[in-house]
Amino acid sequence: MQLVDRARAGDHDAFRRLYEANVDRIYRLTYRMSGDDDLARDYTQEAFVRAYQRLHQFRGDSTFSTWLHSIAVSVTLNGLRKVQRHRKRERSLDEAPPLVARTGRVEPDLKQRLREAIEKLPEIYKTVFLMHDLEGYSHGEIAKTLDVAEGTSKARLSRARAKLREMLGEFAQEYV
Amino acid sequence: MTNDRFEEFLKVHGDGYNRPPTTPKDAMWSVIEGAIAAEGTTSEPDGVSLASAKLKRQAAVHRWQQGWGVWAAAAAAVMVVGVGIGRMSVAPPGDGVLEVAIVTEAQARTMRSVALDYLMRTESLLTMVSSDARAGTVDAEMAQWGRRLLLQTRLLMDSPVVEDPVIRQLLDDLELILIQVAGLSSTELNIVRGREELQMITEGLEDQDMMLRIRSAIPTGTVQRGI
Repeated sequence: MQLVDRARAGDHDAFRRLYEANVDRIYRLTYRMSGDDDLARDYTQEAFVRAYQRLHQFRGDSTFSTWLHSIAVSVTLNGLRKVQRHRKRERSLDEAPPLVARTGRVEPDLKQRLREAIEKLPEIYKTVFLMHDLEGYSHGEIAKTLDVAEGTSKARLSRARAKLREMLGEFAQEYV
Repeated sequence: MTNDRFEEFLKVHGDGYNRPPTTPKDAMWSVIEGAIAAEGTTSEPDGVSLASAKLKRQAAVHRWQQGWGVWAAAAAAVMVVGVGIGRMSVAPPGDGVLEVAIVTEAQARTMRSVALDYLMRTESLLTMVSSDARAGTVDAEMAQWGRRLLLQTRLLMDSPVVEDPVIRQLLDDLELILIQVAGLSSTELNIVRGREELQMITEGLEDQDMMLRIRSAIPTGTVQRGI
């Protein structure tokens, strides 16, 4: 009997083993997407609890890992949207931040420029970029996780890179 | 720069973007385990009469922790079967508020109990938050409780049973409050920041009349848990 079947039948140890086998990748991905340990923990935990609750819906059309990843990505994207709405609301209550003095201007370093550029990527491009270029997922895995065609995953990655290149401009060239 | 070189550049320099720390496996598992626990007890110790506020608080914490497994088990049970309660309310049965589509009376009772339990635990936690803010202290366990309640809030929000717009709005607002509680700084190094965060949370509670709204959602005569 496979682990998923055993977990579905109520075998606690089987679910623990599924957790052990997948938690690293899930946590890493949620952390890459959120950039915050608390949020990454929340999303990871929520993904596993939801997976447990929906084990009866898992048909085995994809691997358990892929199925779990789609839950995790969905939980994370929904959660981040809520956090962003909340932060936006908080910011609107605060006074406008003081303008940074332009005198003695210093170019932000490469890391900062790259970070800002990645942050600005639209969600659909950013998710594929983080999964493929930073976490090493294949286009096949990404396609199944996001429920899109493999070609769509490739196109989104290509678009993400093009946007990053555009945003970084000549700046990156100084470092290579 | 060629495309290949730019891709290489992104892989090398982009790796520093939100680089994950070591996975906190055990800490996360303990929360997950609580949520899927099938065992536990909600039994209240009878006649608890504790003199000091500190002891009362410890008792509240203990009961809070005791009941967690049961809440989770009940919530999981109700949500797993995917019952189609048309509307969720914490009002007592027989008042005509609960509309039932495909649900047995037993399941409806379980759901009412789950929602009530959740609201009472949330009220207890937020009472502690307000109390700590006034005292200028930050309980290290507060964030952990907040995290668990946050998980419960989200599960309730996304369950098909919550359709009452008042309850839905309450859950929506509670989620934002609990996000802040779950992120409270309580280490000695961050104690000042923690106090400021507590202050912000209590301001949010007051601005939105949260305690009043939670209490309004709990039927009169319900035995309070916690403090």
